[in-house]
Amino acid sequence: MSRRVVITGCGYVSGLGIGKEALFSAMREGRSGVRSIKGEFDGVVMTHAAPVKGLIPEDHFEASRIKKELDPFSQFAIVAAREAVAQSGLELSDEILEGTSVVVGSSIGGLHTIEENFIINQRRVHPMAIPRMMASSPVSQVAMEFGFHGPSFATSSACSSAAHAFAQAVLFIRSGLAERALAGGTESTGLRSSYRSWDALRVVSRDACRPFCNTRSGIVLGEGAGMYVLEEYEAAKARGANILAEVVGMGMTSDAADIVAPSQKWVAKAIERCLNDAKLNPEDVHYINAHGTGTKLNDLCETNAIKMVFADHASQLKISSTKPIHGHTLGAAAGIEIASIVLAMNEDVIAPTLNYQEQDPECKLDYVANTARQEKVDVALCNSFAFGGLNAVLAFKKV
Amino acid sequence: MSLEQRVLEAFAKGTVKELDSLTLDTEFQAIGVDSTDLLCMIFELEDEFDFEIPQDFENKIFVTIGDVAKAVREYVEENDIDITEKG
Repeated sequence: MSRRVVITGCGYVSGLGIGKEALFSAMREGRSGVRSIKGEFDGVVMTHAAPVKGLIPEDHFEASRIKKELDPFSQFAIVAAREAVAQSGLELSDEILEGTSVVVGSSIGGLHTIEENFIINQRRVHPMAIPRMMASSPVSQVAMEFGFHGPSFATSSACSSAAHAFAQAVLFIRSGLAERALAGGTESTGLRSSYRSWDALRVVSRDACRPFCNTRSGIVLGEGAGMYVLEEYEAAKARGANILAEVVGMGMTSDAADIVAPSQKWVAKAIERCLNDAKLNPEDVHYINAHGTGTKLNDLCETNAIKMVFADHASQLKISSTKPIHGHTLGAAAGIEIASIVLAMNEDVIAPTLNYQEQDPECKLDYVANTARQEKVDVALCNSFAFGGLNAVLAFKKV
Repeated sequence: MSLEQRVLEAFAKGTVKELDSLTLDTEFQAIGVDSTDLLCMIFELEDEFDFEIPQDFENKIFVTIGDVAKAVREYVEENDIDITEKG
């Protein structure tokens, strides 16, 4: 009999602030954390973003640890992990620590450290630059923070990094290689190098992030971390854990097409594979947290892929992109966005797609425009469709 | 400021420790300083004295901060390096 995997804790650092409640309240209320960054950095064209709000590193860590080891993207992951572990109520005995895996996604790594050492101060490189910047640093730091000894590493697949991390953690638990896991994603984008790189790619909106809207014009950047405690279901039940949702399936594909443009066929295939893995029929799904970046290309491709897979049921689905609330957090995306699924399944509230002004004749599904909706959600998907065509879809069920 | 005092300050900066609690006799082991802390100190020393410390420096045995100050003094004198404080 295959092992089931459930979520028993979650933690967040985001543009809305530190902690779950900061993010969940924004999702409930349909409130955005995107704000002006005009004039903050030299030579940066974009005017708005959702950088992490209210994190003073010294409030959370010793100054020496920050300086030596903790790039902001590691700081985010640890703070989020602390909240998730605390919420789970897990007692961290030696046995528990031994069987716990850590898998965290990040697309770039410690960009602050890179910027400090190679751009700002070019005379010499700090000896701890590598341990601070390496993409696996958050994983090691989270493992070290608690003492976790299970199979642990970082995953990287651009905007699907967190979704893939989540999927990997689920696979570890299903297979028995781990009994539980800390999984999620983290990304730090609130710095000049990052903003200038995204300006150069010309996908950032000068207006606002308007997923699926006819007047959409690009992404708005966010940053932060979303971390979850995942456990084998029977063990979680036996210890009386509060189960937030069950992870019932995953579907992953590679477009093998273009390094930035998505391929509808393989995006649809990822959704299909997820439904198969979860043993779900299309009609079983209530809500999809879309990738919904607010670009012309993604939102059309994603809409068409959903129509392909769900056929007549597509018009019954509630679909929202929460990116206007917290920004596009890149490697942390699914980590932050699964929050909307935890919210939906535990509070019967579907977070809205903000900034929706006008229907696109080619995108005519129900995007829960502008206002959150009171509705029971038993089955939901979380979509991640990354640059380079790396797709990951996760399915969740209320327990 | 004496070379020794500058070494103490570089150590405090590199390891983010309180200067008041440090003396030349402070033993690294006693205050939980490891090899990566030593590297961080070397980084600050290079900045402070504006020179490159040779790659084998961290392989020497240092028990106290004073040992490091002594090694820096020897290095500076052997190589006739100007360590006048800038500005």
